[in-house]
Amino acid sequence: MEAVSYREINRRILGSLLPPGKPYYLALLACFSGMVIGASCWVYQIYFGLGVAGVNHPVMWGTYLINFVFWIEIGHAGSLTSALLYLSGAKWRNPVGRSAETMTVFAVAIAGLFPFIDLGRSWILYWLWPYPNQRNLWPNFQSPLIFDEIAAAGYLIISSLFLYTGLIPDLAVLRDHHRGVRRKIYGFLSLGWTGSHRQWHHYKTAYMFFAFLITAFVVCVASIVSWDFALTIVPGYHSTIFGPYFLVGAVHSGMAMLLTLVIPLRRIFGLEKLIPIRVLENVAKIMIFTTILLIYIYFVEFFMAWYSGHAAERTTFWLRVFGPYAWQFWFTVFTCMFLPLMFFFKRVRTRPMGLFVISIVINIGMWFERFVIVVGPLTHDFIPYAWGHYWPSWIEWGILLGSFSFFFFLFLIFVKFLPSVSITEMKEMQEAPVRVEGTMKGRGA
Amino acid sequence: MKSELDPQKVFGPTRGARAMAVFCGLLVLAGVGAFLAGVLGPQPVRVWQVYLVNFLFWSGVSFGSLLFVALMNLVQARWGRPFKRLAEAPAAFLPLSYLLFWVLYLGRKRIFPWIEVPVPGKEAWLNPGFMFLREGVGLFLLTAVSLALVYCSARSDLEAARGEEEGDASKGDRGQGFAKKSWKVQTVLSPVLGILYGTVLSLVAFDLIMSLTPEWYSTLFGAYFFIGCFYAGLAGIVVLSAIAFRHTELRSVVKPRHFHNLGKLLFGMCLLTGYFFFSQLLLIWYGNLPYETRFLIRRFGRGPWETLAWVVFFLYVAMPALILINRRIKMKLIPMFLLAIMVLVGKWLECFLLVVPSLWKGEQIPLGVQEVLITGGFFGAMVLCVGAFLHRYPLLPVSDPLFRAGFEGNGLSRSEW
Amino acid sequence: MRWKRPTDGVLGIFSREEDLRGAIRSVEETGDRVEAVFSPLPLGEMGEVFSLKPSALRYLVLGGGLLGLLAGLGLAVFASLQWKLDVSGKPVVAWVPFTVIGYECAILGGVAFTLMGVLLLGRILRFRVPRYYDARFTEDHFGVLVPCPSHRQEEVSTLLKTAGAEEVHEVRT
Repeated sequence: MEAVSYREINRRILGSLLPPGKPYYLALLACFSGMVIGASCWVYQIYFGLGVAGVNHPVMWGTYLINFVFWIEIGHAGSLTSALLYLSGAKWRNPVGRSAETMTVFAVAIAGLFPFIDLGRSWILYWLWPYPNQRNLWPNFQSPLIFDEIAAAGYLIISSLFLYTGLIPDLAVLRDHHRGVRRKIYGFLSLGWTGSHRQWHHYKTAYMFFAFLITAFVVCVASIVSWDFALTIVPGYHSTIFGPYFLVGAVHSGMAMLLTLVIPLRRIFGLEKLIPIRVLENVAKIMIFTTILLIYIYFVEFFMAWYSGHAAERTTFWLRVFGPYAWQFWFTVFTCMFLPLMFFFKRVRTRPMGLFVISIVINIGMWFERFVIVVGPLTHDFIPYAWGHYWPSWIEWGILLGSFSFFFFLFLIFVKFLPSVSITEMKEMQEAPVRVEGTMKGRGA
Repeated sequence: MKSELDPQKVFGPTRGARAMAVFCGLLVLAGVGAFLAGVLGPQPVRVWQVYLVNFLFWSGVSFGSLLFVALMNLVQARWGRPFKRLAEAPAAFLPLSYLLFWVLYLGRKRIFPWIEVPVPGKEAWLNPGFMFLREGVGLFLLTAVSLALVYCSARSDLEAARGEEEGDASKGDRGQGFAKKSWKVQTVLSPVLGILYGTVLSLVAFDLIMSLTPEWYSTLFGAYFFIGCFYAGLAGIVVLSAIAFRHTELRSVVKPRHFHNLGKLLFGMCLLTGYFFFSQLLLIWYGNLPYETRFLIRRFGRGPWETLAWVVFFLYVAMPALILINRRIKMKLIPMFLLAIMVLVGKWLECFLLVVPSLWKGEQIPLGVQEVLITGGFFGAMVLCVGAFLHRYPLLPVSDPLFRAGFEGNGLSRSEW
Repeated sequence: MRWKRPTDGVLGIFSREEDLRGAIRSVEETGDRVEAVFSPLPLGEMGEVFSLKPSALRYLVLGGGLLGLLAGLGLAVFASLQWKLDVSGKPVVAWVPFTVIGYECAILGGVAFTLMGVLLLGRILRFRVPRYYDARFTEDHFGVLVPCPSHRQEEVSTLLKTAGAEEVHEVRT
C-alpha cells in the first residue's frame, strides 16, 4: 500500500464530513419516507392487533423473525471483522473496521426492534424482564427466548461500547478540527483525549479486551439465535449444526452488506487510496470460505434428513427443494452458493462495481434463505391436520421496508457526522515518517 | 543469520535413537500379538473396538497436524513456519494408516451392527460394499493429497539443504527451480487439502462412529470430529516442538512468541471443540427425543461410563481451557508439553467413549491389558514413522519463501498487510 | 495527567517520530522526567521507554467475568426455584441451559468491569484538554512534556530544540 501522510489521511477522511450535495439529501429523504411507512405499519398493527400480519396457525413465526435473524447476523460479521481480525493481526481490516463496527451497532439496534414488533402487545414488553412482582412470576430461564433477550440486549451494549471506545481518538481529531458548537460536542464526547502515551496504553488494552470479549460474545449470540429454532423438535429446525450454521451464514451475509456499504463510500468520498481494492478482495476471499462452509452444511443437512429415516424430516427437506417455497430455495442456492464462487476469479473480485452488484444479490438471497429456514418447517411439521401456508402481508412488507430504510438512514447520518474510516487506524498502517536525506518520505510537505 | 538457517536432522543415527527404534519395534510386535490373540479369542469385538478407536485417533491426529500446514499456507502466515516440518511429520504414518483401515474390513461384521441386522430405510447407505468403497476412496484422496503436499515441501527443502551443503552458488536464491514450482504446488494443494479434510473426516465420523448406533444422528457430528482432530493435531505439534526445541537446532529459530501463538491457537481450538460438543449436548438434552438421547444417556447418564465422560471433559476441554487462559504458561516448555499430552490422552479417551459404548454390551469399561498393548502398538508405529521422516528430511523449511521472509523482515513493518 | 498541583514545564513539538526517542533520552540524562509523550497514533516503543506494565485490567476482567457468571447463574437458579415449574419433564434447576445464561452474563460482567477499569485506571474521564495542548497532536505532530522548575525551563527548551523539536513552549502543567 502506498504511503500516505498523516495530514493527508486527516484531510481525506475529514473531507467526508463536509456539507453534502443534493443527492445525499434525496437519499436521506427516501430512507426517511421508508421509515415513516414502516412506522405507520407498526402503529397500524399495534392498533388492530397482530392478526394483520400474515402469521397464523401453523406458521407463527414469519418475517419478523426472519428480519430479526437477518439483521442480527449482519451485526455479527461487523463485529468479527473489526474484533476478530484485529486480534489475529490482520492489518488490512483497518480501513473498513469503523464501518463494520457501526454497521453492527445499527443492525443490532434494528434487530432488537423485531421481537418487540412480533410481540403484538408491545407495551407489555417489560413482562419479559426478571423483576419481583406480586404473582411471583419470573421468566423461564430454560427457554432459548430468554437466552436471546440477554444476548441481544448485551450485544447491543457491548458493540456500542466497542464502537465508542474505538471512536474516542477520532472524536479528538474532530474536536481539534472544528470550531464552535461542534467543537464543544466532539470535545465532550472525546473525554478530554490528548493522545498521551498513558492514554494510548490504556486505550489499547481496553480495545483488545473488548475485541476479545466481543468475539466470544458473537459466537454466543449467533448460537443462541439459532437455538431459538434448534431447541424445538420441529423437523428442519432441530439440527445440531444450527449454531455454526447461523454463524457462518452471518459472516456470509454481513460481509456482503459490508461491501454494499463500503464500495459506494469509497467511491463517493474519493477514499480509493485509503481503502484499496486489496481490502475488498480479502472480504471476497472470506466470502469464498464461508460459501464453501455453507455448501458443506447444506449437504450435511440434506444427507442427515435422509439418513434419519424419519418421514417428517425427509418430507421437510423434500419440500424445501420441490415444495411451495422452492423458488426461494433455488434462488438462495444460486445467489449464495454458486455466485460467490465467482470470486475465485481475480477479474471478478477486483472490480468494485461487480462486487457491489453481487453483494446486493447475495443479501437478497440470504434474506430468502432465512425465509426458507424459518417458514418452511413450520408449514409442514408432524401433524397433517396442522399443515398450512404462509405469505407475508402488506404490513409485514411495510415493516421490512422500514427496517432497511432505517438502517441506511442511520448509516447516512453516521457518515456525515463521524469518520467512516478510522483515522487513527489508518495512521497506524503507515510507515513511520522517516527522514530520508531531506525528503519527507511518508509525510506531507 | 545463515548459520541459523542450516537444516539439522533431528534423529541422527545416535544410540538413543536406535534404542528408541528398537523399543518401538517391540511395542508394535506386542500390539500385533495382543490383537491376534484377541481376535482368535473369546471376545473379538473387544480388540476390534479398540483397534477402531486407535485408528480414528492416530489418523485423526495426523490429518489434523497436516491441516495446520495447509491453513498456514492458505493464509500466508509467517509465524508458524519453523513448525512446518514437525507438523508435516505425521504424514509418514498416513500410508500405513490407509492399510490399517482396510484391516477393518476383516472385522466388519463385529464392528458394524447394521451388517448382521440391516437397518430398514438406510440400506442404501449402510451396506458394507458402499461404505468401504466411499471410505476407501475418500481416505485415499485425502492421504494422496496430504502426501503430495508434504512431498513437495520436504523434497524442496532437502534439495535446498543439499545445495547449501555442497556450496552451490544458487543456494541463497529462493526462487530456484524446484523450490519455486514446489511452493506454487503447495499453495494450490493447501485449499484442496482443507476441503477434502472437512469432507472426508466428516464422512469418517458418520460412517465409523455414528453408524455404530444406527438410529442416532447429529448433523454437527462430522464437524465436531474434524475440529477435534485439528485440536489434537495441534497438541501433537506442541509435543513434537517441545522435544525438538530441547534437542535440536530448532531453538535457534523458535522464539517464545512462536509458542505463544501456538498456544493461543490451541486455546481457540479447545474452546471451539467444547462449543461444538455443548451445541450437540444442549440440543439433544432439550429435544429429549429418545432416538437422540439414548446415545447420550449410555455415555453420560449412568454407570462407569459417566465417570469416564467426566474424566474426558476435564482432560480434553476444561483443564486446557482454564490453563491456557494464562499468558505466560503458553511460553513455558514443560507445562505446555504436559498439557499437550493431557489433551492427547483426553482425545484418545474421547474416541474410546464415542465408539465403545455402542459396541460393548457389558457394564464395566473394557480397558485392560489388551487395550494398552494394542494402543502401544499403534503408538510405536507412529513414533517409528515420524522418526524416520524427521531423520530423512531437514528440520527447517529452508526453501519456504515465507520462512525466509519471516527472518529478513525482522517482524512486520507498519504497512505490512 | 495526574491530579496534582500545577508546575512549570516545557512542551516540545516534533514533526518527526524518530526524533522522539533521542529527545526523551537526552532529557532523562539531565535528570528531568518526561511526563508525557503526545502522538496522533499509538507508538509501540513507548511501552518500553516508559516501562508500562501490562495493566491490572486483566485481573479486573477476570474478576468481572466470575462475578457475572455467579450473578447470571444465581438469578436463573433463584427464578426457577420461585415457582417450581416442571417444563416437559426437565429438572427445575437444570445446569445445561443455565450454562448458556452463565456464559452470557460472564461476558457481560467482563465488559462492565473492563469499562470501569479503563475509566478508573486510565483516568480518562475528563472533558477538557489541558491549556498547553496543541491541536496538531491529532494530526501529524508529536509532543514531549517535561515538567521542570521555571529556572530550568530555558535549559530544557534548548535541549529539546537540539533533539529536533520544531517548536518549544514554556507551559504550566
